[in-house]
Amino acid sequence: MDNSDNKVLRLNNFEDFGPSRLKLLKHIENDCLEYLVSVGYSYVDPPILESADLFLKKSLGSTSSSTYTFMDLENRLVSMRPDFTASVIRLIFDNYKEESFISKACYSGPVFRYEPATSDSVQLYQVGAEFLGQKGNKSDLELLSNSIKCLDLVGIKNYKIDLGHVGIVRELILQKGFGNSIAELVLNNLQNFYEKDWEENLIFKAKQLNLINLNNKEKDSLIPEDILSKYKDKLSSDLGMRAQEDIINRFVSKVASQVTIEEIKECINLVKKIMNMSIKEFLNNDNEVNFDSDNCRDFRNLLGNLQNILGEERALTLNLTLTRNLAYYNGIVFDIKSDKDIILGGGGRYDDLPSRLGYDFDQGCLGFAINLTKTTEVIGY
Amino acid sequence: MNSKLSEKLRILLPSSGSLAEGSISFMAQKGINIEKESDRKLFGKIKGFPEVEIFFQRSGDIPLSIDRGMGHFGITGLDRYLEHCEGSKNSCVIKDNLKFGDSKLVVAVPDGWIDVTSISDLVEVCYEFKQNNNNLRLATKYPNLVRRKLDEFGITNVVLVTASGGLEAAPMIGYADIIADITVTGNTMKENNLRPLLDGVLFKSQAAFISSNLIPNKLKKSSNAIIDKINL
Repeated sequence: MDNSDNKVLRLNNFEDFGPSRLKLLKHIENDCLEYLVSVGYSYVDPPILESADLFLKKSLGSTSSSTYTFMDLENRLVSMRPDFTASVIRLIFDNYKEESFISKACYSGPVFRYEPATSDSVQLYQVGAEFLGQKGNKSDLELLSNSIKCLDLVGIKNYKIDLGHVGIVRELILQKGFGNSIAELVLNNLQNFYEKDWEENLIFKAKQLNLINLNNKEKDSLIPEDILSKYKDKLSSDLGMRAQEDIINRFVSKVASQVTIEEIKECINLVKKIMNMSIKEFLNNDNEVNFDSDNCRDFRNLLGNLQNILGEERALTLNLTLTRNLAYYNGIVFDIKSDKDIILGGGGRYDDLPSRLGYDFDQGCLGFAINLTKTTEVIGY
Repeated sequence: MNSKLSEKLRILLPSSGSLAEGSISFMAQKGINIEKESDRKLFGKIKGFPEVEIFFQRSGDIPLSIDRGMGHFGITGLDRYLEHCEGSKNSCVIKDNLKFGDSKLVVAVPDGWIDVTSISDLVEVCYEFKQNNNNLRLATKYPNLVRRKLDEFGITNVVLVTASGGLEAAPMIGYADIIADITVTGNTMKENNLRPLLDGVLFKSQAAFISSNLIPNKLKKSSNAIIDKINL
């Protein structure tokens, strides 16, 4: 008898995996891991549950609202891993020092991300790799080649790669004389670049953030004594734990980086030119934007080599709007998509991550992951 | 849910303040006239609905009462509901803008912090505090809502100090550096040397009609009658 009031239902946004899907998933997982181990990656398996701090430090909190975090039975704040990267890096640095150091590690298993706005599954299966100890486009190319090889092994056809580079866009904005605050604002909003009101919204946000000198008036004096005299009453009120000197110093640096409305529009035009550039234009450097730094040259080489590897049947798109999680990536960023634009995986370079997690290491760090949950969906089971 | 509760459909309304007056007026506008023997009584009934009972509670207690199955419908501030029950499977918001009980949850800083005008400034101030081996402390009555909103801005180094009243004095007393509180005009903040940030409205709220997801089948007829009457 079906007593529906007593039934305990499966949690929303969690999926059951039946035998055929699980068989496919395990098959793909094994093929990828076997390949990665054969090219020198060590298979590791960190715990699903880690101190919440590990993931907070990794993302600077930007993913904390989608991470399952709770107090455990010993009153420790713990999180179910939202991805593998931070755990794998912790595992390597905690266990494998000096001669035994593992510079290439691969992994597989479930990760947990709560995205209330979508119906996406909370529990995702991933297989992926981390690569420590090399900077420059040689390791970028190796990582991309390995992720391509994994996808080829699992039998996905006609996939596409969107490739961007966080560092290059930032570099160009700074080269043209705009400050860090403007660069951050633009980069943070690049993922909405193709939306209709992008330009308007960007200017609106810049105004809200006080990055624009609205009246085009002469900037106020930035001499601390003048500021102290102008804001005497406010600065002599209760400032809490902040020192008057710190407030004035920050005020000076903030006002100094303000731009006029014409200048922000000039920056927007520059960004539009960069974003609308094709791979061919970028490779030939024949656009009026002059890409001539070491980073740009390296990236140009990478694009050329990658085009050769992918051939004509798999599309490569230059997508400099790929700027997800800026607190984290500092070089290449890529998405691997099915022919119907379902994201099957991705990765990039995050050289600062080991030091952010507290390890004294500055020799490069990058990785990729393939979403097995989506991949099995696309292949069909 | 206890057996006593499941005999009648139970509606929880705010017992005092503007939400209380607004709720009674709102129900009356919808043709639901609440009968209460005296102002001190914390329960009442609805003319023409003998199978429905009304209980009056503090608006802040209503979300959890509904979520825990102590009532079937309720009116409370949307901010209160989201603070206590966002994401709960036991209850839901049926309508989140009943056109009364407007309020804003606003972040305010000491007026002397002339370098801080927006939320993004707080990110840098957090680092300044960290460099001095301190944490920026924010006093609020809405720690969950504030935490979620600050997370969206990437501000994670703030220590939330939960307080129940008189938040405007927190920076002067010294138990917090900044506050996030409900305000309508901002005057109280101003009088206490606090300045709302330009983009500091974390949340805008109105009175909301909320429902338990655990209404027993035998009360469905009454609950549907109330929903129809209120025309939500």
